[in-house]
Amino acid sequence: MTVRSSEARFLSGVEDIVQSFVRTPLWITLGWYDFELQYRRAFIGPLWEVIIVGVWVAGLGLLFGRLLGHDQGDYLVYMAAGVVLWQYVSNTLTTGANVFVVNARQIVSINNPLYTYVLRNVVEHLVKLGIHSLVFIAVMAITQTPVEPMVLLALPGLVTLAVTTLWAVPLLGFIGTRFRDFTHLLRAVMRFLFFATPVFWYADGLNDRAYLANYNPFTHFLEIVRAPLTGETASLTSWGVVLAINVVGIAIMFATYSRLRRSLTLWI
Amino acid sequence: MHSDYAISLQDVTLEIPARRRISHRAKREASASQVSPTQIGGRLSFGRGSSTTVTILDGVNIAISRGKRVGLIGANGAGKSTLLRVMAGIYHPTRGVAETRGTISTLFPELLGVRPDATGLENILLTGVLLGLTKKEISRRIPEIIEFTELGDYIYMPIRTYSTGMRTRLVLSIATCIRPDILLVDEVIGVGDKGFRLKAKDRLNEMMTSANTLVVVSQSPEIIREFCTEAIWLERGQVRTAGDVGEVLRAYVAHAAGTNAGMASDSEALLAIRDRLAGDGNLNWSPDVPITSWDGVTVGGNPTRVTRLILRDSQLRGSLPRELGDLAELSHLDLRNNRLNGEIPAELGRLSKLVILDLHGNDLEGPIPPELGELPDLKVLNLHSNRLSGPVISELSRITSLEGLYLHNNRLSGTIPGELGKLRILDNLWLSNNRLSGEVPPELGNLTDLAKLSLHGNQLSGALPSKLGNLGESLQFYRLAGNNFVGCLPTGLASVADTDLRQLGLPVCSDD
Repeated sequence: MTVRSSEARFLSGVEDIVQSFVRTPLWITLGWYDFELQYRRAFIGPLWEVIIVGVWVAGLGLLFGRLLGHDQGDYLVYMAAGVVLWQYVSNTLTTGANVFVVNARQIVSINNPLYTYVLRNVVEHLVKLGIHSLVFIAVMAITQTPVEPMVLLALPGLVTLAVTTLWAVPLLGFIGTRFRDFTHLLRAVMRFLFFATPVFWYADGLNDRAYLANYNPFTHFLEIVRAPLTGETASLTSWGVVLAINVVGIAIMFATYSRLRRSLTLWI
Repeated sequence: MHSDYAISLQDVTLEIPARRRISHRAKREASASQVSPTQIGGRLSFGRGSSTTVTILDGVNIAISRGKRVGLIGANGAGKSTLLRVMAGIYHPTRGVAETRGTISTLFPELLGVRPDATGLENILLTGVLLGLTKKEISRRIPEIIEFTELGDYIYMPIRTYSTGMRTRLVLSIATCIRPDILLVDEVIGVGDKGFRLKAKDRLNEMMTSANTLVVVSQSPEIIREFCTEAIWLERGQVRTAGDVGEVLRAYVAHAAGTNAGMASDSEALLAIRDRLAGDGNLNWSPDVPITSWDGVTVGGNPTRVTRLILRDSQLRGSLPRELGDLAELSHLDLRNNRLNGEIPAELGRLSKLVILDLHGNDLEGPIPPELGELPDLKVLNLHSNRLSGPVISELSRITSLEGLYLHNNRLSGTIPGELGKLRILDNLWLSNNRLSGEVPPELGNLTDLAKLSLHGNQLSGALPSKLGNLGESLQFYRLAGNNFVGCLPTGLASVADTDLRQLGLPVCSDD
């Protein structure tokens, strides 16, 4: 191994990411334990995850559904899917900004690819998404919504969402490591976006202000997964927006990653 | 550049940006003042606003050949751990080139307790995976790891319940399962008890046979000496000396003891003492080891000097070295129960700070040197169970601070000097089992603090002076039998609880 201060950086950045995938058992194992150990000392363990999201869904269904004038079954399904997906987006991004900081001890003691920490974070939250989905399934059962084959169309949306977090997390992670205020800011922003994004309300309820939802990229990320779950097809606009953001995002991520990967250990 | 290197650093410089809250005034003062030669840490450069750069490594050139064991030594903040991380590829140099050949494994303290809530067993898995082992490789080695760590059922407990030593055992046992070409170790081996350190050393040695190149960071010259053949001394981010471990450590230790001339003379004296006590390989005294780690040596005071030398039951042989007299600040000299022979050197009389002198249980011969009477602060003089001969010297009466005088079980002869009555605060006087003769001097009756008096087993004669009865108030214990006393026991002594009155066989004097 040769490390020159002036060495071509793009390759070393790409190599880090490639090496991370070579070390797949590493981040799978550690990602699982990251998840599991959070509940090690709790009596009912991961069941808490179900309870937390369940309480959200129940609360929003009972109060807001009535308030907003829709409390029928398809609203509950729509809202449950929204909340579960939002949990994934919001938690992955806010913890993503801290992903290098919380693993500082390991980063400075073992020369493992940095991207493994990103993958660990995404794995951890995908496991949580799986558990939260139980709430969604419960709502489907309670409202006796028939399951149609169309639901499978949610899978490509889900994969795209996971891919999005795979480039967004390292970007936020770099910012969050360099500027320690960033995590706090991000948490505030995500809280605001929960209300500003049609997670538990319908975009068309905005009437002439529907653009507020349409210009919000998070609307489209939710849409590509949620539409098939609620028996609709995601609009081409949504897919177009999502794919465009992903292309640009991946490009920015590679550029940033290659430039900053080396400095990161010094920022920690 | 030799081609067979494992690690080669060329002009490696590492600067770390840091944001520090620092006032403008403090900044001006800091830039105005010269860096003091003893300041620790890297060089700080203050830029505009709150930006600060710390130069941690500054133009480091190092070449380590394959198969070498190298120790990095230096003060706090000299850049040792950072240098190790550059070698590991974790930190990338700001300037310069770092080249390594072969697989690298690291053993850093940050790894101790990767996941505190997980059990020892799970941490073995997690740390192993982090270090690049596969699950299969790890589970195959688990029985061996458990045996090596000696943790027993603790292995099923969360490691937040472990001590640092236990965590070290765990990590060391996992890390040493890996056979890298280059192993980098940071301050890990020093932790844990002595038994485990030996085990760890065996384990590392075993690793070395298959691998290879070892770089160890430690603040302790002892550890470096134990594990390495070469050493590099880092000082404020620069290589100060590199080469043979003995030479570098000698220079480092001398530098650390540095400005303290008194200490330098103490360590010289102790090394001379070590040479005199030849035939004993147990003393770890050596110029490569800081004096604070020497067996039996305690330092103290300001500037620090050797204040205590305590080597009990240590199988020391040879004659008592006269160089002991050079340890000018010594307050405790305790060499009891060894096999020292020869005479007590007169030079001990120069130890003017001596409080306790204990040489009992040796084979010392010859007379008690009168120079001991010049020890102004001595409280305890314990020379019993030797083969000392000659008289109980009257010069001892000049040590007015003396509280305990133990000269029993020797071959002392002559009379008991009456001057001993001047030792007003003496509470223990033991002269039994010698060859003392003549009468007991009445002046001993002045020792009104005396708690224990032992004169038995001599050739003392005559009548016990009635003044001895003054001691009855303070005395708790006396032994007088085995002499040739005549007459009667002074009345005052009759009330003492612990006596050998029956063997003595004297009647108590009548009170007129």
